[in-house]
Amino acid sequence: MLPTHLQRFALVLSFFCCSAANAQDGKQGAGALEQGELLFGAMCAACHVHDRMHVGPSLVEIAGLYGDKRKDFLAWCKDPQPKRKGVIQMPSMAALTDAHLMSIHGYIVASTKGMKEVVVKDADKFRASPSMRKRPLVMRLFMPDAGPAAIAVAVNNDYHFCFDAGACRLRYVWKGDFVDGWPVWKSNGNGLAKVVGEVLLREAKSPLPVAENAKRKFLGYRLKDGLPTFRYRVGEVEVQERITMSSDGQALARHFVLRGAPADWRMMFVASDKLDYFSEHGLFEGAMFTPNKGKEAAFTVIMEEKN
Amino acid sequence: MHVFAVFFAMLGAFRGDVWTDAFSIETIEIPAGIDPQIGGIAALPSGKLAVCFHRGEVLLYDPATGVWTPFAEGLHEPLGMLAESDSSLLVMQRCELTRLRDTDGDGRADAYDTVYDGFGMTGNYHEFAFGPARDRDGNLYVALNTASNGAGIREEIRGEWSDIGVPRDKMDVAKEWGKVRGAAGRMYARAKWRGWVIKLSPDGEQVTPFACGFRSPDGIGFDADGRLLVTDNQGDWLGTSKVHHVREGGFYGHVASLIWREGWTRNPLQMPVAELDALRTPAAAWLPQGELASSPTQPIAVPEGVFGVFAGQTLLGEMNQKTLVRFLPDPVGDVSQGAAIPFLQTQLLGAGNHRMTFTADGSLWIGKTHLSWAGAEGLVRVRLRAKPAELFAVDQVRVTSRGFTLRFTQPVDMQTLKGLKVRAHGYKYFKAYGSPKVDDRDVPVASANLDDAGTTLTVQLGELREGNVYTFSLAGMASRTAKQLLGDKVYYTLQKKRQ
Repeated sequence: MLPTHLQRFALVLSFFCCSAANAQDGKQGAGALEQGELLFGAMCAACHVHDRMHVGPSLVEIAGLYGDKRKDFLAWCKDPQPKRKGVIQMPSMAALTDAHLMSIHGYIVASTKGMKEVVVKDADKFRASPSMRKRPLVMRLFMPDAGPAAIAVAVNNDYHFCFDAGACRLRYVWKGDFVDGWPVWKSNGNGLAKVVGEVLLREAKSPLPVAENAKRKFLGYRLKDGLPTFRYRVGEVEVQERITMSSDGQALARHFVLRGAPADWRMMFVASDKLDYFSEHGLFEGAMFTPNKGKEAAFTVIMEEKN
Repeated sequence: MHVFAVFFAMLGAFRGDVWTDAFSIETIEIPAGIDPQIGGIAALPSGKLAVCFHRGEVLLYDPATGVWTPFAEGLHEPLGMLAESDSSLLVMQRCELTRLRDTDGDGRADAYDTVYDGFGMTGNYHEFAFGPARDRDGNLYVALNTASNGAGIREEIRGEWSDIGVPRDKMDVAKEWGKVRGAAGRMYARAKWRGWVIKLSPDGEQVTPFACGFRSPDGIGFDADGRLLVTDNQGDWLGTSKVHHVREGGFYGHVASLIWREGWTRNPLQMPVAELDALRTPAAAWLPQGELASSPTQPIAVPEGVFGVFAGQTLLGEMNQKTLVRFLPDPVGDVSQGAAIPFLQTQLLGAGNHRMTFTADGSLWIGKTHLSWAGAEGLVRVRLRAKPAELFAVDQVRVTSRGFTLRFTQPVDMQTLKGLKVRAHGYKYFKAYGSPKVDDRDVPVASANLDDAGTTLTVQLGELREGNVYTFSLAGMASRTAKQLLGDKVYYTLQKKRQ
């Protein structure tokens, strides 16, 4: 929290009261403290607040570390290092003069006198909110083991998958409690969401028989019953891909609609040690899937957990 | 600060102030369970507002009933929104510009169509995406943040990578990043079009890399005269925060994005600063850090018929300071420059002022955010409560060959002119994070004369220095009807004198 007007007022008054004494030792007169406050507001206040960890540590903590170590304070401000895990490195303040930095130091020490650190609980207070617990749910955020344009989808309470809108393909499927997005939210995107549960299958590449370097274009998605139908182009082929629960509710069903695909396309659906593929719409020979006649442009494969 | 000033500041805190006398500021409650950091806000033809939030929800708010209803969710850090109709919104996510449509009339979006995702992402947290702004012909403009060396890049990136700079394998957060971060640049743009403003045709099909040189352009919008304005945030290569009038082909100062110019081969960090300086278009307004603004956001034109004398003028949002900024352009030839003046600079407004829109009833709606920096949360509604004819403010500032003219909306009480003070300063252009004021000095006022009507003040200063900010302190100035001035500091960025 920034100091309120009244706190500031009290602070400024206290500077006046003690300025005569300070002026005698020639260190921090009211002018320097006032300058320190102004400079702090201009250069530091975006990341540091008085009594708690913000982007960087609190002024209370800084005063504790550097209150009587002015040289160390100067050195740190001019050449900050990566120090705390998960905390952004401070930019160098070398553009400020030593006198400016010392006035900021003076302000930090004076304005935190008698103040105590407030410990901020590292918890996601929106974790259980309706918009996070909605099922099904499509949520775009930074995901592990995927490109930066990832999309997490909760199919229901148990089954979830990650689609990559950059690579235009499924990345993995998991079972559990969807994602913990707090590492993303709390760090403004500097962390990745956590997959909560057990990954059932990872797909190393698109199941479609297209060259690795074929041009891909993500076109977006349409929601039906809360679940997305992804639309993308790979080369000249326009693809719709949708994952739902199977009609009996016991497995996942992966639906494809292809426009402009050659009739002899065969897909590669590689099972894992936890998920098997089968389909009534074509023939599996190992991982190789050949759609039945009439099903080439629209088919469904079932992804079922192995017992 | 003098003891008297402190005393009056205290009085101000208790009594309300010129701003809250002129405007009402009301906080709108956000539904429970929504992280109330607002990334975008748009007025719909129906009179409702569409608001998008930090965790990707889009909610509609009906000011008539106070009811919120869900429209969409799951968007990736949306940081800008435009309404196309009651059922179609354009939203800028981190990863793409998206058109959200309700096609079945149930009040919720069912089509999330990608309009533009042809820009790169390294996964670096600072690669935000802003906009869109729409010009009179329906073209769309988005602005892309550079990456921060507060972190490296992810193993998987999207889009094209530039080899100009530290080798990619060393920039992976999981690898040698710690050793190379210093050489990467404080903010870097190795994924395509980072640090650029991109223009899209109305259908999104034609993509034009429009202008570069941006660091963290969290504000893109048009003024009432059709100028594209983009704000940028103090940091490396930015002595202070600023606003630019952006034209096609321009370079606006932050060097990282130059590597995506056609045919570009050099590492800007290894070029002489003078050479980079010669390439850049200077700011239309510098916003002195900590004094006026520390993190400017969206520019917005005040519609005709709204906010009295401020109609047609441009406001800028501001994240860190408890104020907005009013920008009065004063172009000289083809050089854009002008005056920046605090607007709604009051405790009651608070900080975090991020996204703004006007509704037909004359309300200004401000969505707030902090995104883990200094700022605030929630939605406020600002309405004019004073009579439009009573608003006392500077509404035009013009540079002359040896001074300035300031025009006021009401005749000025000559007796209150005594406090007029002018200072001037410049900024360094270099790779360091922010610049101290350079040549910060008092500028003696040779003469200050009001015209017969009492509304135009001509201030003669003597030789003017281009590349400086001239700061006019007008504290205590009042109209002949004893109205206090709304915005009593004028920061004029002088890039070119008028002959």
